[in-house]
Amino acid sequence: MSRRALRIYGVFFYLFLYFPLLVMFAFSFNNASRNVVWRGFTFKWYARLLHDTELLWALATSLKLAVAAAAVASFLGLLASYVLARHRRFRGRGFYAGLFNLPLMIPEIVMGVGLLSFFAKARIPLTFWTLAASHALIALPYTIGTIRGRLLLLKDSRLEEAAMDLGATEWATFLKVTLPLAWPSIVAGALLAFTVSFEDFVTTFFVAGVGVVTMPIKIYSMMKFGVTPEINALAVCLLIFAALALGLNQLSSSGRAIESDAGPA
Amino acid sequence: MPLTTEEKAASKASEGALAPLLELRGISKSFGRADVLSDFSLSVNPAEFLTLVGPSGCGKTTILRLIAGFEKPQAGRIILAGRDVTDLPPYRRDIHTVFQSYALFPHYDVFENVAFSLRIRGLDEEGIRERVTEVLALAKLSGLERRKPDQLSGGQMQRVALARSLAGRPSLLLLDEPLGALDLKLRREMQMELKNIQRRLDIAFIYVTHDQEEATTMSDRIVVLNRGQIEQLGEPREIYEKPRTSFVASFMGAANVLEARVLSSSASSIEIKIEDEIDCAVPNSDSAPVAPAGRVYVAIRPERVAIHAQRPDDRTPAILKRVQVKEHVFLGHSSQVYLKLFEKSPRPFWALCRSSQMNGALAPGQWVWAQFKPEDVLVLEPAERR
Repeated sequence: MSRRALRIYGVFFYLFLYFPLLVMFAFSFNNASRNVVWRGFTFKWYARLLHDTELLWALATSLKLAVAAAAVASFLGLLASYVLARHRRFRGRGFYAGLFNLPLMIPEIVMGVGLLSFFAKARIPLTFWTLAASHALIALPYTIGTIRGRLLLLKDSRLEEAAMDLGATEWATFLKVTLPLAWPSIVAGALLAFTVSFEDFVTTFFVAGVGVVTMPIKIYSMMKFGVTPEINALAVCLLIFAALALGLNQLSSSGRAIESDAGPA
Repeated sequence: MPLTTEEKAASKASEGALAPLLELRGISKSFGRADVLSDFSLSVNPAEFLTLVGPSGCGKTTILRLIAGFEKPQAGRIILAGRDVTDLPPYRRDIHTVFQSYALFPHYDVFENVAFSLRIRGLDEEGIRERVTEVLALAKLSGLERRKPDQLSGGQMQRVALARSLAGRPSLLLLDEPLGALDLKLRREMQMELKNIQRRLDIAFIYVTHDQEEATTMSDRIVVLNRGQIEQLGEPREIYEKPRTSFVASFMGAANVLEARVLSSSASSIEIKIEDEIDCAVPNSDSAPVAPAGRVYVAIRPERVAIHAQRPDDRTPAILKRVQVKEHVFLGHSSQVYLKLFEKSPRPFWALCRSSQMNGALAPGQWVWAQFKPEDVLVLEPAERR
C-alpha cells in the first residue's frame, strides 16, 4: 500500500472511531431542542444540565456506586490474585482462576436475571448496596486480570523471597514489597472497575431497587422522549472526565517495571 | 576427608567451635516426578568458603533454596548451629542470600535496600545509619546511597545485593551464581573482593557456580555435584590433582579421559595398559583401590603432555611416543594440539602447550614426539560404572 493510501485509510479509521463523538460534541452547542438541524451556537444546554437536579442526582448515584464497586472489586481482586499468584499449586487452582473470569463470559442479561432472582429468592431487598455488590461482581474479573499479572511478575522477580530471606515475615513482605510494587496494577484495576460500574446498564436495569436511579438508567428514560442536546452536553462532560481518568491510568501504569530494574533477567 | 582440610577448618573456627555450622542430613527433594536430591548429606564449617559446583540441573540451586528455606525437603533434616531449622520459614533462619538476579527492591534506594533487614529487626535510626555506612564502605558503594537500583550498573547492583545481605551479619551467606551476569574482567575483580570480604567478616559462604575456575580461585573446599550426588569433596588443589571420577576430571579443568586395563596392582604401583596400546606403571594413590584385570578410566591433563619436534634425550621415566598431529588450534598464549596417540581409540587426545615454546604452527599429519610422566596418569573410577 502506498504511503498516500495509508494516510487516507488512517484518516477514515479515526473518523469512523470519532465522528459520532464529534457530532455529539457539536450538537451539544446547538441552539435547538432537536438534534437534526444546526440553529446556532449556545451554552444553554450546559446551563440546563447544571439545574437538572434529577440528572445530577443520577450522576451522584452512579459515582458513589462506581466508587463503592471499584473499592470492593479491588480489595477482593487483590486477595484473590494474591492466592492465585503466590501459592504455587493447590488443588483446582486453574478451576478457581477460570471461575473468577466467568462473569466476563456470561451474557450480562443472564447475569442480571440471575442476580434478580437470587435477591428475590433470598428475600434481600434491592437497595443501593445490593446494586453495589452486583457491580463489584461484574467488575471483579477486570481487577483480578490486572493485579494477578503484576503479582506473577513480582513472584518471578524473587523480590518477595528476598524480603523474607532478609527477615521479613509474610505480612511484612506484603506491606513493604508486594503492596507498593503491585500498587499501579491495583489503581489500574480500580479504574477499570469504576468504568465498568459507571457505564453498566443491563445488570443495573434488573437489580436497581426502587428509587436507585443511575446515570445510564436516567439517560435511557430521557431518551424515550427523544434525544435532547442536554444529553449531548452531559456526554461531553463525561467524555472529558473519562479522558482525565484514562490519563491518570496511563500515568500510574507507566510506573516502574519490576523485572527490568531489579537486575538482569 | 583429608586431615589438612580439617586442620584448616579448625584453625579458622573460633576456639572450641569445631561443630559444623550447617548440616544437611539425608535430604531428599523432588519436584513432581523429578528426583533432584536423594539422601543428600553435607556439612559446612564455620567461616569457610564452600563452593557447590556442577553443570546446570545438578541440584546446586535446589540445595541453596533448601538451606535458605524457600523449599522444604521431603525427607531429612537441616541443622543450623545445632538447631533444627528444617521447618522454619526463611525469615526465622540466620541466613541471607545473594540472588543471581540480585532481586533489589526497585522502590527503595541503595541505602534503604541495604537497611531492609535492619529496619525489620527494629534497629534504631542511629544504629541503622552506622551499619549501612559501614557495609556500603566495605562493598565500595559509598556515595551511591540515594541511587535507585535502575540507576546502577550491573556491577554496582551486584555489590548492593551483597551489601544488603551482609548488613544483617548472618552466620551463613548463600550466593547463587552472583557473578553470572558480569563480564569477565569484572567477575575476576569481584572474585578477589568476595574472598577478601569473606575472610574479613568471618562469615561462612556457600557459593554456587557452574564455573570451575571461579570455584577453584575462591574456595576453601569444593563440592563437585552431578545429578544430585556429590562426585567429590575437597580442597581445590586436591580436586584438581586427584580427581576421583572421570566427571570430576573433565569438569574441573580439562582432561583427556581414556580407558585402561589393569594388568596388575601392588601397594606402590598399578600396571595399566591405556586404550590397549600404551603400557605404563602409575603410582598407586590411596584414593582408588582397583580390582586387578578390571577396566578403569584414566585422565591425563593436556597441560602435562609435552610435544617435541625431535626425540628428547630425557632420562627421566616417561611415556614417549611418536605420533601424528591431527590439528593445531592456536588460542593465543597457548595452543591445543590434537594428536593421533592411539590408533584405534575414538576418544580425542590433545595437549596444551605454550605457544611461545612452539616453533610455528604444526601441520596436520606432521610427526612429533608426545611425552608424559606416569605420575600424571590419574587413575579414576572403574569403567563399568556407567
